[in-house]
Amino acid sequence: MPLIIKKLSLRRGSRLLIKDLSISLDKGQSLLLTGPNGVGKTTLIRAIAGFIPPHSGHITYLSTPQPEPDFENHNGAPPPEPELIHYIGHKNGLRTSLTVLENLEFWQGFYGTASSNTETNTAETALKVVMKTFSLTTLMDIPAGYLSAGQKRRLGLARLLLSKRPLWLLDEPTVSLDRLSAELLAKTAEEHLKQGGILIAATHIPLGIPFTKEIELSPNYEPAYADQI
Amino acid sequence: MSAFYALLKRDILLSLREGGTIGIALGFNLIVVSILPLGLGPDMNLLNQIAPGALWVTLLLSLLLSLDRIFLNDYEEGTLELMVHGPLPLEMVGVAKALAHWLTVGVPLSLMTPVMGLLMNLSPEQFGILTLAALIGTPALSFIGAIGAALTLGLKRGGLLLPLLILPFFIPTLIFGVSATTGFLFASGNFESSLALLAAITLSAIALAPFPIAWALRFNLS
Repeated sequence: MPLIIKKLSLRRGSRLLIKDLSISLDKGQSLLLTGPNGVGKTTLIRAIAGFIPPHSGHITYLSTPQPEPDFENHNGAPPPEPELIHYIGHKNGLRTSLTVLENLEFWQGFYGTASSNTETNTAETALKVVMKTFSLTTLMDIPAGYLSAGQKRRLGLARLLLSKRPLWLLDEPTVSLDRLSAELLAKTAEEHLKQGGILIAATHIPLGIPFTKEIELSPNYEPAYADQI
Repeated sequence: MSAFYALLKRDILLSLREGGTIGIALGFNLIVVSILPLGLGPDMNLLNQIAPGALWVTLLLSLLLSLDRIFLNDYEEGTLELMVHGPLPLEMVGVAKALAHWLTVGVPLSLMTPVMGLLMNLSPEQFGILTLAALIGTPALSFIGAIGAALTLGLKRGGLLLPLLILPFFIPTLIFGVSATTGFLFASGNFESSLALLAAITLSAIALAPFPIAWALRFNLS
């Protein structure tokens, strides 16, 4: 099991949002997070992405098959390496004064996939493929600031294909996408799972792919510290 | 290293395209130095005497105006948190962005100093030292300023807190910048040693600032 979440508790301020959550995901498996607003879906995803340190418990990612790590020992269960993660949050991570192409070119260069492409594909053709997948080709010379909300979202999602990473964390990925674009996303996600990737998504709208596991989070109002009562 | 160059290239492209930062810094500098002689009256000698100090203080203030841009736009548009998942350590992200700030604000401000010197009644052979000292001193301002910019990211009115927080740390650069310039202009004291100390401040700032920058960014992204 590459991704293991063990007895994870997360807090936001002084409130314990997630309590003793344990789940593990194998290669090619996907997890759907549901629950009402404010229940901690985003917090959980951001914790796996490494932005929020756990209140207690562990999140660990094993890139090679090995026995269950020793969770008592701190070095035994390292958190996922940042370079294994693709995170799609509420913001698209675009700069509005750069064109669609320039935005993608930057991420390709930043992820270092422009030069390390071992296949016959050059960096340029790789970009063309990505733009075609998310039907951005006709928009490529338009500054991202002029795009519609759905087009911006597509541009944000296109980042998923610029660098091959096993762990996809999608927080409400279908926001403002039309049906056709949502289908594009579903197809991309299916392809990712087929290649042995892991996908965790928080969404209210069905993504159009069968999820292996599902967690319905329910509100927890427990304070994080015992002495707060 | 390709990630570093990609980020540096993008930040320079962005500040050239968005333009406002460089324009405001240069414009502010020019306006302040232009109205200074008007306020001081027609005493050419006095103008000459206060030139180094006046030029350095306005340089500091104009640079300060542009500091919050280093991280703010990337923070608000969600780009900064995605950079955490790149191959570049957050420390180097800070270096790339501070360096881009220096190249797009510090260098143009330094190259403008001859114009400012003219307004302050300096003679052309004195312009060289102004530009040289500014070029050596301003990288420290960009790197120290980036710490403040990273610290005030999450605050609503961070733009106002930033100068209060950061200006005291600009004082060493100011002192040695002014003493190098004065030393050369009026042949008083040893200007080379002041220049060397100015360079030392810049080098230490470049070496040490990335760590507090990365710490502040991590804190603000959690």
